[in-house]
Amino acid sequence: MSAAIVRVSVVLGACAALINLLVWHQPIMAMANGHMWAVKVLYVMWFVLGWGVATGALTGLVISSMWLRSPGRLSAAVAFVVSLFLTTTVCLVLHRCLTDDKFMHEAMSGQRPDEVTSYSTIQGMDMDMHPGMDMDMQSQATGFTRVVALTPNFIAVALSVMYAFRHRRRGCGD
Amino acid sequence: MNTAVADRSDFYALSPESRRPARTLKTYILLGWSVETFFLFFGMIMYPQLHPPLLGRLIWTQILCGIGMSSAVGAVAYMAASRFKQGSWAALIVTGIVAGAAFSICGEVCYFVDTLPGVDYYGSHEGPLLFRLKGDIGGFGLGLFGSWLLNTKMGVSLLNKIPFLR
Repeated sequence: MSAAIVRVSVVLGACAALINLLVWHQPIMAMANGHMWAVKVLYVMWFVLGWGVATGALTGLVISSMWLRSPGRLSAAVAFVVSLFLTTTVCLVLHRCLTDDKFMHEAMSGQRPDEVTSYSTIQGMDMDMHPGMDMDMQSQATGFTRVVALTPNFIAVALSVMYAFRHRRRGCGD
Repeated sequence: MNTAVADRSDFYALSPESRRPARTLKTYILLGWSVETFFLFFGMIMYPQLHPPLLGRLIWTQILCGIGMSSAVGAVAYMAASRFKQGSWAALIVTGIVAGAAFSICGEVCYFVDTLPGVDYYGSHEGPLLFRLKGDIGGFGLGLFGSWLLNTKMGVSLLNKIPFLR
């Protein structure tokens, strides 16, 4: 059963990532725009792995652990909350990377943000973003806000929890 | 292949095959997080001039790369090899190749991001060959090592010594 839980969670997570990729293609792919197709393919795979498979795997791990401890509603609630926390954490880090130049600098640049005069993480983006624009304004400009971006993953977590604990109540063990 | 059974002290007793998904995920999370943390300090020591504010880099390397991507690697490796019996040659090879390929994709994207103007995570400008060796060859080797731990008698006995991987 834990194998099925992990599989379902990973597939649902990957679906959530693909939905985001289809709906918010421009802001997500902005970093790879202007590069050769191989880079874009690798970038898409990386995004689906990070946004979908990773969150699905962590969700599956949490749910199967809780499911093995106890099949009750309390376990389901704890699994849901912990999975949501992990999913939110991973997705928020990735979302900030995609939308916040300052954070990207701090995470991956060898220079402090204030030392850089001209730089944009979101290369090739067809939008005129002001250097001083903060993260919320940038993500609102694209529509790729945190709540909207995380909604498919929240649904995926809820469906995974429902699948696991409904299955248990029907008496389907290992 | 012989794998260890759950201890009496465990709160549940499961067959090795039942524990396989969680064990695969946890093994790759542990490996990926350890290597990512090593690279973090390696970069700080080798390229101190690139040392940025640490908080952002810690969040990036520990949460997204260390835990997130490693769990993704474990998941795809498990899903690819789950049709094969744990400990079989097929499981060993498929798990290793798939996990290694996934880690290499991460390494390549990391290299690509590092070469963007204004970004220099560590060493892609100073030593591009070392950076790619670390990401591609090192990543692939890590995938193979994880598969060896999960699918060989010696590897499983090593994992059994780590409490949360039993």
